[in-house]
Amino acid sequence: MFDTAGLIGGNEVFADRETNSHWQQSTGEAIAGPLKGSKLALYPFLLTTWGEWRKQHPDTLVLKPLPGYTERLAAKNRLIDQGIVGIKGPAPKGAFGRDTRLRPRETIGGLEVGGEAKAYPIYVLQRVRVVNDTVGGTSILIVHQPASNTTTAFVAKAEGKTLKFRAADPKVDRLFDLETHSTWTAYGVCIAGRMKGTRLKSLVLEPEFWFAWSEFHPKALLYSSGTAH
Amino acid sequence: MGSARTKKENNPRRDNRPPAQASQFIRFMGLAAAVLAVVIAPQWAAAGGRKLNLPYATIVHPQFVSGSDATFLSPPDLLIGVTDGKTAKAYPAAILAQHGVVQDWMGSAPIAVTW
Repeated sequence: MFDTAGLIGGNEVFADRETNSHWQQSTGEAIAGPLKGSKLALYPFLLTTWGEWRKQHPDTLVLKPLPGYTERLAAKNRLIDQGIVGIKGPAPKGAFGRDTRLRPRETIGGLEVGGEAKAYPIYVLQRVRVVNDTVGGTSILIVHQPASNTTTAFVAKAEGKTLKFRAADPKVDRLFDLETHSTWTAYGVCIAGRMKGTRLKSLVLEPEFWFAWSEFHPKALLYSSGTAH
Repeated sequence: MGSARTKKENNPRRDNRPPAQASQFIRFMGLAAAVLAVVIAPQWAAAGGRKLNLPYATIVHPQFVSGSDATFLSPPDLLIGVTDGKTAKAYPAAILAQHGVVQDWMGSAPIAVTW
């Protein structure tokens, strides 16, 4: 069980109650204590909006605010929105990231595949919306739905075929692949055409500020829309 | 919602344990998978959270409501969603930013949801 124990490089560090080892949030790695060197697995998750999540999971449970906090959620949400939009600020005190390819608070989606890390700036994804790319030797697909600012990522392969995708509409509710012209959802499920019923393997995309991602992934590649798409 | 919470309440792992049991902890974490490291801005929580009179402390016994009872959320509000194919759970960003960590279970997997 984890408690907040401070910041390193502007990124949170947790201490576990069982061994008092310290864990870096960005990497999930124990950096001190009896479990030093161990790494937690990243459980698949999605950063999205309530509207979009509820549409996809009508039976979802929702974490309830602690007593007295409900009426403060709106103010907190405004703060969070400003944080995501307010990309011009400096890195927080203590950050040691020196990678100036992006501004420190630019938000990115980070992927780690086959030992390679690659960052996709959200502002680029908002423009291109569908990315066909390769990370760590694996063909991948990234889908950005602008209406809910939701980004999903997949291995771009089904039935042994590497696929390339295009948006079927500007909202990117639907995509089609160039190889079989099957129709897919933004969640990697084929709903019409030759591959109907097929599901792409999901990848976990980590939303982070650039300063944090770059300091803990020093060799990270950076996607720019100039590359193949 | 019982399942995750019941398991948690019955599970001794939530309590302090001597280092002698560390290996069991590792195995447990390793097998079951574990942390959600979403890393947008602990500093928002640090800056904004302390202005509110609630602890910036881990939620250890998370309580859940159904979607229709989640009247405290608006469609554009951000959240972290997790699903194991059977159960879907939403952790509103505004709650995560306030408390830093939510300790929970997905089936038999202990998860720590962080912001």
